[in-house]
Amino acid sequence: MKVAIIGASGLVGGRLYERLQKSDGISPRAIVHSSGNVWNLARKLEPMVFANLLDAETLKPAFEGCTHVVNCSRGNQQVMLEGLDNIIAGCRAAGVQRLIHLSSVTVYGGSRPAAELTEDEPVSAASGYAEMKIRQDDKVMDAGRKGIETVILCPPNIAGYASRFMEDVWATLCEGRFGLVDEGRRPYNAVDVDNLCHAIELALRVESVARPRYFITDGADAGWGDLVRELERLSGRTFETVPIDEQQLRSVTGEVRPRGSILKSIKHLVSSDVRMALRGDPLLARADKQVRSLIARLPGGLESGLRRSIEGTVRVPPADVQPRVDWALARHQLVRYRYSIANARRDLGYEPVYSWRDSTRRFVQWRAEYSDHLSGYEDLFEDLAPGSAFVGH
Amino acid sequence: MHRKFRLALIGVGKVTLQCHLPAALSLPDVEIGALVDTAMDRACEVADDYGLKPLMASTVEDIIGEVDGAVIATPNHLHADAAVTLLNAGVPVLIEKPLAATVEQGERIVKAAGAAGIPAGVGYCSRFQDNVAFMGGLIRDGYFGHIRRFVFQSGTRGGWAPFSAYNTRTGTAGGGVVMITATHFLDRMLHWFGMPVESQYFDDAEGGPEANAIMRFRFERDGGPTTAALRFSKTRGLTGGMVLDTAKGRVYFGEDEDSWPVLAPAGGGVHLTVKPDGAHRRPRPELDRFQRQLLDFVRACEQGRDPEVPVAEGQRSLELIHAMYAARRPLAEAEREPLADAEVLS
Repeated sequence: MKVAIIGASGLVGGRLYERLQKSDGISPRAIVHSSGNVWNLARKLEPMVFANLLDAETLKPAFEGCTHVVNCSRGNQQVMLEGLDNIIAGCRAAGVQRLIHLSSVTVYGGSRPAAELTEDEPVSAASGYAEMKIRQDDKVMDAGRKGIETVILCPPNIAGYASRFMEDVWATLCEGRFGLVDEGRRPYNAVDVDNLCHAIELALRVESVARPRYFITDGADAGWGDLVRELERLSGRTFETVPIDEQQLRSVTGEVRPRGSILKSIKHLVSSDVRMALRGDPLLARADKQVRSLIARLPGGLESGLRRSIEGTVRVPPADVQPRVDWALARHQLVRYRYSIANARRDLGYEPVYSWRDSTRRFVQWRAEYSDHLSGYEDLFEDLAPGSAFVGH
Repeated sequence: MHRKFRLALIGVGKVTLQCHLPAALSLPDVEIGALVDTAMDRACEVADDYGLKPLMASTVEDIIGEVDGAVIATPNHLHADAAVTLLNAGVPVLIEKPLAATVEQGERIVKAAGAAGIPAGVGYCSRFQDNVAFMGGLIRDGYFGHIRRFVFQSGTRGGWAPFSAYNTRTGTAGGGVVMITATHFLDRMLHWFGMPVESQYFDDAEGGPEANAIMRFRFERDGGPTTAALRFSKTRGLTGGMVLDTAKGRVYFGEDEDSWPVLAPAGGGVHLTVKPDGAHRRPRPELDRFQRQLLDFVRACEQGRDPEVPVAEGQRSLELIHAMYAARRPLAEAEREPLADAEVLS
């Protein structure tokens, strides 16, 4: 089995490449975009194929002779959509048998009543990113219907060795900006990077694929508070968290959806963002220009009064918003459910290799890697750590 | 009418496009006299983008006699050939850091510069920052009293991605994170503290360029020894900066261009930000570090003096780096054999 790994310079792609190198009967090929992030491959003199997902020609040598392709790429909207089209076309041209695509649990956004979610739930986008991931999944499933075997794996936040997500958690805790909803009882959904790579290998090897999508998690039953306590235990530190309530979190992150009304819809329609989008059309742009010129001719007071009545006054954030909280990170705690890995267990034979506790320990060990070399200077390096009195002075 | 300085840009890659070309275009006394690159398509595209009409060339030989000076911003292993050719032909050069990929290549440049007797500098741009120059002055003047220890770190997950991907090969870059990132601080360190009397070096290279490196140094200075530990990474984010353990207290010096040294007095009390008065400020504060660096090079050419960072100083950094490479030990080794602590070292 010859496997092209797109995005092999990233965390998942890189760990997968290392894993597959040691796997019997699999020969991985590292496909990378630019040289900026290839250090883990370069330092071992690993061969790499440079390819631009937006340039289909560069994918030809990348996929040549490959039986399987794993898409771990990330990028902007154009890369996510056009790039994926090129990947699928490249797979077809190269006669690739199976395409494994990394999606995200975020395609199951929005509020759900269930305590445990299965892949049978309808997808829904709660963010622009989720919308892109759903469109990607649609393209992959369409390719699946047209002859290429496809598997879509949906991980939550990726934890463990060298995890960027865990680095964010750690830094936010050190800085005292970690908000905890519902006293930390909300489910902590994460997957160790090597559990995910294990699942990808299973998806490469499994004889046939029973369903289009699979959740891949650590199968944990922990809450966010458990994660904080585990990090405290492993590091010997005490972290001060900020209690926040769900309503406040929803309000700050824009999750609270206002009730609809005709007036609000009109306001939305004439908002500058919408008008800017409409001005992309030449006829609508001309109409918009005429309306604006008409309004500009009104006396000053009338014009601003009209503007205020349509757009409303400038909103001032509520006084009780605590700006020191990392709201983007806290947002993960809006999820009240876990993602079931029962289907992955049954169809792929997936069983998490590392528990969430193992995964957290592996992150802490990674952070401390090479620290023996810094003995005698720990106190000075501590002054450069997140949350120190100096950093952010 | 005052004739403009005709500058050649050798290598139309990322550092030229993002740093040297904008600096040159922003200085009224400078005009782009030539663009040199083997990738002529890209060079022509750049000329078109900026409405420039320079001499377009694919070799440095073609620009001799046509320009007053050249910035060499090719992959590291190509610095020496270009610099020696130009210096031998009487063209002053400003060479992007590091000076070269190997000590031997660096020696050729230094020798050619000496023989030509014309300006030849190396582009350690951070030396042109106000705050770096000020901090160097404080250290050299003993403002903080005896400096017992200091640390420095810099780390990003990936980063700079040159078009040629020369950074992924030891042969073209000369090394990894040390040659590409650490060299900036090592240059400053040598400028401030002199050559260390002892060093230990560890990295994670397994045949290719290192992604992570840790080094420890001991300096003999007036007032006693100073020891240091430095770490650099291309695989993990580290808050960049320097912390010094001094007689006056703990000193923090961040990596931002507007970061001034912050002193936490040994006896306690509030943190103090140490800032220069007018007399200690460098001229032209409105210019950024690349503009200042280029202006210094142009003035050096006009005045027939050395640039602020002459190639000999670039060679000193190169020699230290390659001496450390020669004595490299694997990073993972410490887990089996813990190092002696700082007290034993000093």
